[in-house]
Amino acid sequence: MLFNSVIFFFLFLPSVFFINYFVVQKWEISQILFLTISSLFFYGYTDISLVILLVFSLVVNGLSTHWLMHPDWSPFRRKLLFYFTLLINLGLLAFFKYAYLFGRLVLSPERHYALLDTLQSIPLPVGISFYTFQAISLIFDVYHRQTEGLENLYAQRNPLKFQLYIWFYIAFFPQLVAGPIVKGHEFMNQIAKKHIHNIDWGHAVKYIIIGYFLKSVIADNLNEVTLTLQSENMPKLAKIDLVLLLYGYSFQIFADFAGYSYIAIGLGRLFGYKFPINFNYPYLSKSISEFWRRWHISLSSWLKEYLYFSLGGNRKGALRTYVNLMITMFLGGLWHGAAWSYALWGAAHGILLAGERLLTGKKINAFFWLNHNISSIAQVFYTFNLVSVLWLLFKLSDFRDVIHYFMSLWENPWYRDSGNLFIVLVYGTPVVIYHAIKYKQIHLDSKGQCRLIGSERIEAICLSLMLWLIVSNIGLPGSFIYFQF
Amino acid sequence: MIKLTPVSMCFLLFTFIHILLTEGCGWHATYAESNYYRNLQQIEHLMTAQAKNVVLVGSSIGSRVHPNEFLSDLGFINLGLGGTVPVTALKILQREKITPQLLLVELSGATLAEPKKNDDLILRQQNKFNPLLWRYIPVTRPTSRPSSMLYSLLKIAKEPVHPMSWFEKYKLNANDHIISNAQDGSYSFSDEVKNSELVALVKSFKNQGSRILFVHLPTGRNRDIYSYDIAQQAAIYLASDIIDLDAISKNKNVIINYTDGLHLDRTSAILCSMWLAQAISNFLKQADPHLVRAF
Repeated sequence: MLFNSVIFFFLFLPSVFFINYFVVQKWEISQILFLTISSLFFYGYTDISLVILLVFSLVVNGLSTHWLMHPDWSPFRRKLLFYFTLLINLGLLAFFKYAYLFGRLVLSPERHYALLDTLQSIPLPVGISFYTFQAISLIFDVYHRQTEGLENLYAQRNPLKFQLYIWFYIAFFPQLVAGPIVKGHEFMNQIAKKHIHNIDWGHAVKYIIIGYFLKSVIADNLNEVTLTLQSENMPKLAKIDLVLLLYGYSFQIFADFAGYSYIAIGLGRLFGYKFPINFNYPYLSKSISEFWRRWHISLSSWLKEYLYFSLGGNRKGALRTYVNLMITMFLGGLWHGAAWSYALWGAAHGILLAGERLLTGKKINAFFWLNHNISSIAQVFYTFNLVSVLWLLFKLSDFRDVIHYFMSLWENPWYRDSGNLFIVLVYGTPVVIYHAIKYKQIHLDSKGQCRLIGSERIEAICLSLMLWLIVSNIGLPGSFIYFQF
Repeated sequence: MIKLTPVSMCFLLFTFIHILLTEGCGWHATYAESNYYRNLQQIEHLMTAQAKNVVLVGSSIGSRVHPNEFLSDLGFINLGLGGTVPVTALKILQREKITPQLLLVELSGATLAEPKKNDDLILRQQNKFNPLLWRYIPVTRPTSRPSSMLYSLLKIAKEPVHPMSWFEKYKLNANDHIISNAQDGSYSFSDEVKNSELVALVKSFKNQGSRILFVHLPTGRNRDIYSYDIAQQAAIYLASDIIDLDAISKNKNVIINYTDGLHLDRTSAILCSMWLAQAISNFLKQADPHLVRAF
């Protein structure tokens, strides 16, 4: 079920909300049970067979977590179980997502086509990367005895309740298919009986409005023009159109994914759960490393904590740090999709991160000759353009199309009348404003996370404007870009 | 923390202003920023209009013919859908059970073409169009989309048109330019036509009492897929009455302008609308009384 579908918004959500707060509200466990069942229904709505794989993952990870919590188990037994569960999780991910890609490397063409036939007969498990990563983070934390939020639950000695809560943590519908990837210790402590009068309506409604605005008004409308990049007309486009469409896609992918995250956060608040912010004005970043601290924060912190640190992080010398960065980003790229273009995208980010680390270590700043304010703007502009160019690898899965893009950019005329300019300007402007109003606060006044829009009065006007545009100006509804991941 | 009351109040204010502009002042979008929303506007007209006597089906070429002052008295609906072929518009008419008195089929390179992805999209989306929603919540109408209204405003400002006296100079004569392949209307379709779906649909409308006319609009010739040969081929295969606006423009030595080498610009589109309205009037004068009474 999609957040932007009529069935979700007008039927599923009101029903689940009503039953959760007015029918099963008496006990904590009845609320959790109901929300878990609703989440499975949400996941299996379009294809019931998808639920089988999810339930399998829930059972394996639920049982493993329970056993890993056991105080009397020997380290060897725990290690064995930990690696076994990790293998199952990664194995599922590898089979359902990467079998075709890797099969091509090792199988003969005939066998590869046979594998393709088999894979095409199996429905693609939507969001498998998200729930698998969430499950891995749980078993990883528990294995390393970081069991905050689970100890009390385990101490109750009720294995069924323990299982149910683990299932709920992994499968809770707002974050099930496209994140944010919530860590166990961020979520388990929040599980409690929820009352309707405790709902933080202000934040819930704000996040939901911003989320739907970004997705349905900005991303879906931009999608109509950015599709041209994948069409056979792309090599005929004028230079200005090619650049505009690239920026348009940059705005679109932000609006699409940040939109989903905000909706998820808002829905979480409606049910009394706080999810971490996933996007913190990423296009205001002054470097690629800052970009990754602001873009898809839950994934980048996951990669850092569970992959980069496991590889040794920066503790094993400079060279090894660069290699670790490259490996982490390469695998992070591949996580986004089963195509080498994603891996290349990740590797390119890895190279840039390593390069930046090298330059920062030597205290080299390419914009040293500019005054502070102009240098700051130049760095933001440079990073945004660099990130946007790399999004091409995201949009165009065939590398030859990327080459065609640059060839067309070189050879084609500057300008040809088209509607692209209007659409990118109209729908890109809100994304630019969204970032621009925070520029001063982030780069010149203070650091860190800041208020989403501004003063209360301006915030109310902006939110109502967004709501009005959601009603009157939505684009052709499409699925979320990050669903494929 | 954000308070919800001011948000609701401002939202209602924005909506009120929007309704005032569209319903009160009659300001509607006449263009759209993309083919998809232009198509929705055409479908909105089809579904919400009272009179549907004359319907033009076709592609983006036909979509430029505006149901303006020349055509509005005839109960004209333009179902020229950008990025699609006429078969798609015919299927929409069939689904909606609309049988116009006069069915105008665009004659261009798109006429004989096979439906593609866009056609599927429009037909799939058509199940989701909600005329009731459009009728009772005006802000949801495609012609009330704020971005399309803004786009229309800019387009109209960018492409000013000639005064009405300029158009008067190019009026048609009483007997101008209906090329009849079969004067009695008993024409038959050649089996050689590649697009059998088009033939079947046109036949079906003819059997239900629609009078079929093909309309050949001027098009820029710099695109292979819209080549004149294909249009001619279609005319031969389909062998029906044709309103040849392209020939009219040549006879009258009018320079037709195109926005992108293919589609009519605003002035040329208005000129073609005028010719089309006059050609239909001329046709009706010769047509059987039953058809004339229907108007």
